[in-house]
Amino acid sequence: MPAIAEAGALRRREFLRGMAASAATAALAGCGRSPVGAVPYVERPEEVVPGRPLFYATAIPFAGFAQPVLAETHMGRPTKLEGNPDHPVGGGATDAFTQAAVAALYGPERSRRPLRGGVAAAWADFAALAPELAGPGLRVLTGAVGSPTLVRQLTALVEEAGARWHVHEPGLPPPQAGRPSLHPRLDAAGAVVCLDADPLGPGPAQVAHVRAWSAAPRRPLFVAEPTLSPTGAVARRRLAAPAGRVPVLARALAAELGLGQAPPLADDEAAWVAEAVAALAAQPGESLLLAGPTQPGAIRDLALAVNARLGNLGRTLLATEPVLAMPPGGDEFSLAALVEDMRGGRVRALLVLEANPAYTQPAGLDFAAAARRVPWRIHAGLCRDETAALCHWHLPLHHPLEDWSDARAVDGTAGIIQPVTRPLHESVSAHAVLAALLGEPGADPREVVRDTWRRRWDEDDFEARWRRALHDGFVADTGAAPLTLAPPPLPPPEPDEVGGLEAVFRPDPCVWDGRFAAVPWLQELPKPLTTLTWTNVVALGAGLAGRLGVATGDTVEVSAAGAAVAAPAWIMPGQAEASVTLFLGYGRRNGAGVGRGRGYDAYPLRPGPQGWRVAGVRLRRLDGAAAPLPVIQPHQTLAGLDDIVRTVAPGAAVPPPAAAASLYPEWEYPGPAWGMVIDLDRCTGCNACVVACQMENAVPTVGPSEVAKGRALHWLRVDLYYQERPEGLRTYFQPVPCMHCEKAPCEFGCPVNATVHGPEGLNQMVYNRCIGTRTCSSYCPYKVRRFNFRDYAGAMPAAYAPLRNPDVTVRAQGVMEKCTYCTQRIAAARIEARKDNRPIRDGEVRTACQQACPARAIVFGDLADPGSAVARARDDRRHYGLLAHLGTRPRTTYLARTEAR
Amino acid sequence: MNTAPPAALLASFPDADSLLAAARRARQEGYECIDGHSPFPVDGLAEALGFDERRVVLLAGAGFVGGFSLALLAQWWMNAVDYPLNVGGRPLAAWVAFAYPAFELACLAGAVVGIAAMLLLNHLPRPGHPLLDVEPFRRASQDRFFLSIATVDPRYRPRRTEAFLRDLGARQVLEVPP
Amino acid sequence: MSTGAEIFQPITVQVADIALARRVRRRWWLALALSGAATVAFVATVVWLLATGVGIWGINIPVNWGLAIVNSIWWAGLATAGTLISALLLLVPGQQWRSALNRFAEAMTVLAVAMAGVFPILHLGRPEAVHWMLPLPSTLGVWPQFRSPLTWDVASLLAYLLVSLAFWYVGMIPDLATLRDRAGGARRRRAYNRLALGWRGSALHWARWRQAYRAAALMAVLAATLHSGGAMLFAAGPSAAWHTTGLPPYLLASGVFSGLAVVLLLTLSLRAAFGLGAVITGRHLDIMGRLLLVAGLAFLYGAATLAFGAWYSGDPRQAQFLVERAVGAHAVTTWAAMALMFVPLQALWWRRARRAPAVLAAVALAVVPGVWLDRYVLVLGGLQRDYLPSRWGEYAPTAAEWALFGGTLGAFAFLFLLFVRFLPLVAMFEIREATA
Repeated sequence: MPAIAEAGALRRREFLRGMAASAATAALAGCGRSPVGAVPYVERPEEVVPGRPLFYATAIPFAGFAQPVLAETHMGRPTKLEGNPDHPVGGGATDAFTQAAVAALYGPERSRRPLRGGVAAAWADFAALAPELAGPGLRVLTGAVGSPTLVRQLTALVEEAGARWHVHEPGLPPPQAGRPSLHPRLDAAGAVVCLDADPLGPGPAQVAHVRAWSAAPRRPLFVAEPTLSPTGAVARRRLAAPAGRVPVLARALAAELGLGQAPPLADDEAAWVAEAVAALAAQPGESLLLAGPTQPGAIRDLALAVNARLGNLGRTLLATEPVLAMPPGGDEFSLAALVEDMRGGRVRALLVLEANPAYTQPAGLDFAAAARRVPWRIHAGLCRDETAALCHWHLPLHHPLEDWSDARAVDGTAGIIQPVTRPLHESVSAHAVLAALLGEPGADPREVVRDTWRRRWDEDDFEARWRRALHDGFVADTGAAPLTLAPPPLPPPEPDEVGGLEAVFRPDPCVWDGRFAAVPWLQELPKPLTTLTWTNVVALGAGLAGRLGVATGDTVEVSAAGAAVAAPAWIMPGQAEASVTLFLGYGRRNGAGVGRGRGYDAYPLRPGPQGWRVAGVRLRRLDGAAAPLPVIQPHQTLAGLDDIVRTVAPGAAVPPPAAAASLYPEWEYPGPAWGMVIDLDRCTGCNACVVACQMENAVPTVGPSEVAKGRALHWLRVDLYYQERPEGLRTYFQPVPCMHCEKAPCEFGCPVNATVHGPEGLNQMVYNRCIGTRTCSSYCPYKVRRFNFRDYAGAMPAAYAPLRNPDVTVRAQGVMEKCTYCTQRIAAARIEARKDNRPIRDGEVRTACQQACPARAIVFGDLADPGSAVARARDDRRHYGLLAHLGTRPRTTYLARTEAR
Repeated sequence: MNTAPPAALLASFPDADSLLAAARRARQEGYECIDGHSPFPVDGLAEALGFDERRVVLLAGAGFVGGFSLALLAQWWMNAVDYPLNVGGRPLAAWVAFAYPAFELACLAGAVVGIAAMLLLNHLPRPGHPLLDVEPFRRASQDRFFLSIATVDPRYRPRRTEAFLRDLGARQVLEVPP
Repeated sequence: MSTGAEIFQPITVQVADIALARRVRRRWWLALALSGAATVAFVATVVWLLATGVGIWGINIPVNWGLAIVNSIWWAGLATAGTLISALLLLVPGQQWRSALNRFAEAMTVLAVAMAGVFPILHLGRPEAVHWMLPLPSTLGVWPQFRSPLTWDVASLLAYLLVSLAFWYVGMIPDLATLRDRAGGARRRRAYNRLALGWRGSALHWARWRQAYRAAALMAVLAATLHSGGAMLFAAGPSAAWHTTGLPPYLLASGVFSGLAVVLLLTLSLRAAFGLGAVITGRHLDIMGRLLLVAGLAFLYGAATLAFGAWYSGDPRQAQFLVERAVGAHAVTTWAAMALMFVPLQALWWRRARRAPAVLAAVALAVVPGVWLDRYVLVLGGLQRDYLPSRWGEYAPTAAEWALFGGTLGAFAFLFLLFVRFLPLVAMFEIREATA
């Protein structure tokens, strides 16, 4: 504000006038403008209407694959990502990682400016230096790359400048050069057998797989795996088999179908194989055998042969040209080859582009020591991580929401990544870094990307196609070209693994290979099968734990091949007794924000960059008291209560509850009666809904100590129950938002009318009236209410403040909060409907959890409209209300899980 | 020595029975402005002095009933009329629920009204009453029993009344200063 | 027939001189200093709590009520015994023995209700808005919600506090007059006279006073019975562990039980400290012992009825709560409570034990913490094991919670010591009436 403020005696009107002028100027200068050249998704993009969000179609790359999104921006700041409903992949759903990607944009761990030797430097200085570095001594190390533009630039570096390109993607097996991409079609498969494969688990293709799996009623699913996975959790028959035993099972299975020799099996294995084979054989051409990427290539070939034998190729298993680009040459371009070259002094300059080998390197590969022999080390990434700490130059990269790029989704469909906000920091585009090395230091990343596409499209309709691609978020008909696979030759049998204890490695379901360690929402996201947060554990079976005298929380030492890690133990249901599971992604040392120093680092035990299993493991209990683990749900059994997760035989109905009698008159709900139905058959426990809810409703994280105290704040939780049945371990996921009971016990418990019923049947929380007696929570049989025991919102780093949804109130300390059915979305739809003088259409209001759910397990809508999807779901034979016998009349209800007995 | 006529004569008795007997005799004699003073409530003394009222009890009862009704009405007005809200699908006029606080407030009202009525009818508090200045009267709260006859009593005659009191067995007859 | 001076003067002198004595014994100062220090610690903890919020406690979801609520209903329960002794027995003819005990039992009641009322305010997320529970007009235009059992609790705790305070004070007026008349200095005389409202023992005053006093007694009994130590807050909610009509009598019985133990402890201490053996005789102790035994057995019956009802209901969750109490996480606490409450109690079947102050003190000292533990299990067990096993949780009280509990014990003792020092701790006029 100008000097008027110092003028001493200031009249009120003058002051207000001055304030208004200053505010207007600030608004003009600050926000509200689209990034240059970006094209919004809506029809009239030129206007930013304050209070109304603007959506842009773009994508978030994850492990090289595009996750298509619509980015919601309020006055120029992104607050939420939704799936792109028009995109061929995902159909508008997202996974948990993508939901949290918008938080990573604001993360305080991001680098603010280029650094040279740890001191602030200018991008221009690097750009001037870059052309010198290009040449045969230049090596570029990247993660998996699918971006056509990046591929074009890297190829140019290799071909024109003589540089070499290495790829290191720790969480996923690399596509092998020359081999096609395989795409299981779970929607077309009438029976699926997974050999240590986890198609429904976290990963770039999770959304596509879960969506396909949930497209039809539950089908026979057989899983053999060393450690429980989301796929194993929903399996009809699951066999806990060590990873080293899975090849034997695969050969036995193939032999039953007439391929190769049958190895000897144990009784339970034989029974499982027999059932699995029966299911596969019953539907030739409509069944699917999947061997996990963590299994040896020979076993994957064997699975392919079995699928070919069953006639599944081209029907339930499609092959396409590779989606991800790989530098030609196989192992020569691996991380190990790079380290070897560095050690040999053959590398003059190293550019590490969005990879963190100093942290994710496997055992026995001393990247740091080798790198010190490289004269020029440049790191380009979002954070100053372990690798950046080794490098001379650190170049902060744009977040995908700030950047121009392109990427391919898991089916190969390409899409343009467009910025939805201006860069928050002094960062650069990866394309600009490569362009500088290619001798174009001033290149505009937008033009670099356009250049790629200009080469593909005709010049005359380029602008129209470009605009269309930006608007849609993808380029139509760019899916990877299908290939016809010849049945592979039967691989020769390999010698069986000797017995003993093995360790298997898994990317953490919430922080993956460690790249998401800095995102507090992902750290606090309960791991689907343990509900653990903020740390990782060593999972072991109950039998092994019993033999070693280990209890959950005890510290154990896992050692193999000379390396050892100490970590808390976790007795995991469904764990193969000869396997322990180590989760990657923790023990970060640098640039991981809140993730720094949490958990243990499992990489030093990993046998190779793609090693998923190490045999000959020793496990021993270390002395010391068990530390309390930040677990969201300590009790994971049903305690013999059968009215919580209802199960029905296929085609059977849940018995209807006795009508609750009441002496009192009913309340009339003249308007829409909002309700939700959650299908337990569809839910795979992927947690996308949980993060979506937090992002939509500005739910802060509370930190591990508060989680351990039982104060986690998630409005929506996915309850996890294990049940040992004669037919094996059963795992149940039950998402529990607020039930919005019509006869809500919480409401009549509140002494100050701070939680009341709205006219549309919503159980409303009046934050500014709440005084925090917590009676509502004591009275809530579902315990869906969350309390601000401390000032959690205020304790979040200030950097996250712009992330908050402006349509949602920030809750203060001492106040209760809970799921609102995304009341702000209902209000927005109501306003739109009133403007058009029409009722709200079915499907017009979608809650954040519903929108994110890849399984479409959540249906929301107006119960009063008999034609609405939610009303029809209520008529399902599997419909039941949780604890309905209490007379609470929940608006959120469930469809029982189908179980073949 | 005080020249003005005393406000009352005060006769002291050693025990409750003699006070009670004296009070009855005084009433029989026709004295009206008489009062007894005892260190504990003496059964029948007030009745012997012509006390026959249940106003305190009735007012306490009225307080109870009034408190109950008022509380019930107030709750109904607040929750069902002035700011009606759908609370857990319960009726707006939840009489059964309202009855609980109403009953508690009725108890409070009954007790407070009863006590207030007692104080008002007794003209209490009155910390400056002349009787309190009579030195021997201090025993009235400990172990002595007193009968007082006010000089405004139509039957009061300075010497005859004093003689009458002594005749009743008073240990001591004192004059209460005006 | 002996004169009033011979009969009444000894008790008057003995009781009044406790309050009027110029020199105070060192033991009293020592006790006051100790409890004063605890009170200061209490105030400091409250300041800390108000500055930082209830996050410093161990409470969570599902156990969002912790030690504060346990303490609140424990204090409220103690209070009911004072009301029973003073008010209920006043209304029952022929119970003059109460006169020796009722005054300090009432003081105990008033202070205990006050302590019970402290916790619900402190436990709020936003204690600065506690007045929103009262029907005060505000800019929000919203009123309290009178269907809430918590609103009931506010109304009943407030009513109970005020009624017992009024009852205690009105009963004390004649004795304050005695203090006035025995007080040496003019200033003390004036002060006691003001407190006694100029009471002069008029026959008409006595008659009206008696009516008002009895009416107040009836009100106090009704208020206490309905309040039932805050039982409605639990029984009216849907929690399987609490949702039973048996809970209010259960809490009332255990409250009377523990309260009688506290009255017994106070009786024995005051009797020993001030040599009140002539006022509080062996017969008083005997009757108190019997009452404690009866209350204990009534509570035991109530507990057994609740347990039977839980089993007989056929509701798996009620049965599960029972099992959880007996063999679950709180098994040790449960059985410790049972042992403390009911094992030493059995000594009171013997008359000699009932007349032995040491035995009585030992029994009472076991009962008071026993009932506290029982309430701990009741409140926490109900929250820790609610309907959904996914929401079963644990709870460990923090130092701040224990400090607040200790602080209320200290504040109670501090205020009670002041009462003992400055106010008539035995109803002298009632003893006179009884001996006349």
